[in-house]
Amino acid sequence: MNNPVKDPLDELFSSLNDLVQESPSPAFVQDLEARLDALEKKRRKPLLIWWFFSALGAVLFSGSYFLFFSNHAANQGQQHAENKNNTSAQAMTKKQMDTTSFASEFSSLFHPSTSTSSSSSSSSSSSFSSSSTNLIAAHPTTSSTLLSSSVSSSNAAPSTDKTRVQEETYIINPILLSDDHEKDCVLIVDQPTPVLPKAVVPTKKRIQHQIGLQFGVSGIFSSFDLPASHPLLTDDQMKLFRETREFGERNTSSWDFNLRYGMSINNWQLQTGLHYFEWGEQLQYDVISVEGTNRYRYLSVPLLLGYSFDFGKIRMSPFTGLAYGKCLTANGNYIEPQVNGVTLVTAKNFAGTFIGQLELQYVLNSKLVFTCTPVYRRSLGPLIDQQMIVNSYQSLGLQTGFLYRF
Amino acid sequence: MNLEPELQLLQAAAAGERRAQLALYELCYPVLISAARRYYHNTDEQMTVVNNSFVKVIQYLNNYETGRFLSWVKRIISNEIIDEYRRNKRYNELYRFDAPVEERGAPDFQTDQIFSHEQLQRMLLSLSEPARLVFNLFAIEGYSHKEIAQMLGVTEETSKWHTKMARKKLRELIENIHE
Repeated sequence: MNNPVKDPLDELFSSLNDLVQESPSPAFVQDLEARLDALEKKRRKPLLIWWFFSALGAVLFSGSYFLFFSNHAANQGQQHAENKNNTSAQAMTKKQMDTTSFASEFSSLFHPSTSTSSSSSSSSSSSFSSSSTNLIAAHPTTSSTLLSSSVSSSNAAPSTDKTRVQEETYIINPILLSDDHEKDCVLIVDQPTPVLPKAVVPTKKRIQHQIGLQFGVSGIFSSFDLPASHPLLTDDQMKLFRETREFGERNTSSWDFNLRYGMSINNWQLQTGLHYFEWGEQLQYDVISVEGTNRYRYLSVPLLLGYSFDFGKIRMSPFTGLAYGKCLTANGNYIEPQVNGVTLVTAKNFAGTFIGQLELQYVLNSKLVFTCTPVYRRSLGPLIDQQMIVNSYQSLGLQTGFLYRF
Repeated sequence: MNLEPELQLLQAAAAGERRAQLALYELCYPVLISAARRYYHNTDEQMTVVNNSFVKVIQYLNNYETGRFLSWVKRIISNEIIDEYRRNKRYNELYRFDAPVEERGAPDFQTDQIFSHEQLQRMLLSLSEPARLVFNLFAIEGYSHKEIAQMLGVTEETSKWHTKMARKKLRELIENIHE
């Protein structure tokens, strides 16, 4: 603001700059109060939005926590039962071996004709009692009755089929193998060695495909770099420019859409698709007339690699990767380095983005999965690099959606 | 006359206390209305620009650092007026004149007559909108042509041309009053 030689006419009119003490009319005050009320409402609105998202986050977190732990507890119970199963089975085997050898010796003393093939006898009784074991398990109170019948049957009609016993697979109800019923089990005499099912480990690759749609909101954090000096600006001007930008450029939010395709090979996940997201910032410079929001919209193709951890119906998959996209809206404006006017800028037409995300999936059924994904994004290099305006961006957001598995 | 507000008043206004905001409005009103009257005939337009500017003062009060508060308020209303000008799509009128302007020689205007604020305002408001805007910024608010050119997105020549046209018109008006 410098005007060294003043025209007399200019001087005459510059007297209009002198202040005259004056109070606002009631109409002005009324109008102002209405505007201040509107401003107050506008200030409260973002607070409500943050409350809403915080509550949503809390619900999702507690829901996931509950589901995870209930599932985890069930898994632990099952594992505990399996352990007992193994222990009981071992005890049964030991006892059965003892009783079998005792029975064969006893049989050879009193029935020398039938003892010629003790193994065959024991096998045959085993084969019968193997079928009766399920009944015993289901009705432990009747075990003794069935046991006696099994013994008598085996004596009455001994079978010579040795291989049948070894091929027989026992399904033992884990409830019956608790402490209360363990006694019933070990009381069984002439039981065959139960052949427990081997853990089936698939050696074949499991490939699954997924398509899905997700949407969400991200908070964008803008940062800018300034050179240490500029040939046309003094240090004070540089400082003013930096401070004006720091005060005047604020974080903003963006809508995110994600049309995705994924493929999983065992626990490894590969993801691609189309990502729509925005970079930008809110402008509220108080020293120049520019205000509004710069939005640089990008449509990107991501390539993400992840690994999933299964907890029953809950699956947690950290992903990381890059996206490369085309700018849909590239124009923005910023304050000029002289802090007087506006600099028009254009964002990069093609830009890369680093993506890291932690996908939480809840399996609704064999086909449908609900996802909730916190996503972190960072622009690779400055998105705007025009003289004194060098801007980079990061964002943190939450996306929710559904996946269809096939 | 020291019109700079107390820090406590500014803090209370920034915190949203309505009474403090209205007290600050009383304090800023002379600055705001005198600027608005130089640009707008209509009371409604004046009210809109005055109150919009004051709402911005409240909004950005947290950004204000110690200094000359009323100068800061003046800048805000100037920006608001330029914005308003842009919003109403009168901006293109500024671009019509881009011819080089000869540097003015020695000031040839002299008058002994004393004009009231109202008379000066009336004369100013009779100028065309672009000329009024540029003349206000240059002659009254003290911006240079370079600064005006940057603020309005026009060339310095255009700013000079509008100032010259405004002066010419104002001289005619003053001479008419003399006669």
